[in-house]
Amino acid sequence: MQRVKRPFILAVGVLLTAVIALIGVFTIHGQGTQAAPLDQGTAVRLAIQAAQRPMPEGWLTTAPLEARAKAMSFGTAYQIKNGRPLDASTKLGQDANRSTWLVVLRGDFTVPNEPAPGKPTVPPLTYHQGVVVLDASTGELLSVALYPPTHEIADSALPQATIPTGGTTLSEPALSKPTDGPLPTRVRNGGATIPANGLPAGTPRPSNGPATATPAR
Amino acid sequence: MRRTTAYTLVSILAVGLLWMGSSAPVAALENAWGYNYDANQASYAAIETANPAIRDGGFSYMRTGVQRIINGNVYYVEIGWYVSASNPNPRYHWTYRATNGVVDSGEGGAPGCCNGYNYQVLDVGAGDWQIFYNDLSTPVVTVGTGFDTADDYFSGGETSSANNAMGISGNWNVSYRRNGTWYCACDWQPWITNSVYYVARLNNTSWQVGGNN
Repeated sequence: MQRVKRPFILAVGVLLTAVIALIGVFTIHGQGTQAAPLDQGTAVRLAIQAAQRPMPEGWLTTAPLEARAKAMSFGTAYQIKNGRPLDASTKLGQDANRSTWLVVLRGDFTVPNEPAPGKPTVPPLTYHQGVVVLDASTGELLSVALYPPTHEIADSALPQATIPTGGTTLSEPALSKPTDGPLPTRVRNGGATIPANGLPAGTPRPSNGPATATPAR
Repeated sequence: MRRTTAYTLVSILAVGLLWMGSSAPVAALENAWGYNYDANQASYAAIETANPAIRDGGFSYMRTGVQRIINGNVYYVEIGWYVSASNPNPRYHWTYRATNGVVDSGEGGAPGCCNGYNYQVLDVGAGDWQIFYNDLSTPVVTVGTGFDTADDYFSGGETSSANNAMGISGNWNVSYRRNGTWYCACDWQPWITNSVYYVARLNNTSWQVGGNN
């Protein structure tokens, strides 16, 4: 009986050790993949492409003069980008551990002055520093921030990256996400919860901009 | 006479070419909104998603937001949906310009055509605003703008140039909040920077925005 048990126990032991070792190998490999599957060069190239596409808040109009990039959690990237921690009670706050690439670019960014009705149009500004945050696995664009010369972030601690010269343009990561189900919207047609006159009784009316449906320029 | 005319034409051509060669890309954004100058601490709209044509590598954006104007500089916080040439699938897009000049933005989600989704910006004090997409109970993000009261509310479209389509999107039940009370945007007015776009009344607090489709 004992002769039968010993080899069996030995075999089970060997098998268990092998399984544990395999799980360990796959776990370590998996962590590496989740941390930064995009290499620095690809992340920088994607960040430059994202920064150069026109966006409402501004975009890079020149080739970048300098790039710095580091893989880090979204929470850390947000802290560097905004100088404050992510609000944990928000949806982005719940995503603080997401693996990202933070890429700092220097160049000329045009920053449109958003127009306001009835106010003089102010020409666009030029900034020289921008930050792009990408998902480290997919390259999905998560955030872009642009800084005026008086409020640039300290980036010297971030590793310098090679700026790609020419070469093939990478296609933007395909985002085939399932459509978000729309949640109920607020009551329509100025319903009971919203006063119909638009102002509390007795409130002095602020002066208005031009009331016109014709082009302003 | 002929020589003079030729010189003039060549000069005009040369100056024109020089001007074209030296001009940096210009941010000629076009806008079409419903808005009004009502002091507020929040704006809300249920905005329908659309698939506007992007014809020049730029973008089309439909959002609600507020503006704070100080010495002619416009600071803002806003959220809506956005499509670009490189990513034609609509995504939510939020952005703000803080009073220190920093502009920041983020995108995500997948609002589906042609449903109406909740979009809201809400002041929470100390210069911070919460930005909401779809779910009005949990904000997407809290951002520091440096202002707590805005000068106007608005809801409508923006394109990177008049080549691109806007909408077509209903901006429904637009409202703003002042001193803790929500008010309908019943005093709204249209504002259009280019006649290829339009803002059309749907009801006393809702409007449709589109054009060049």
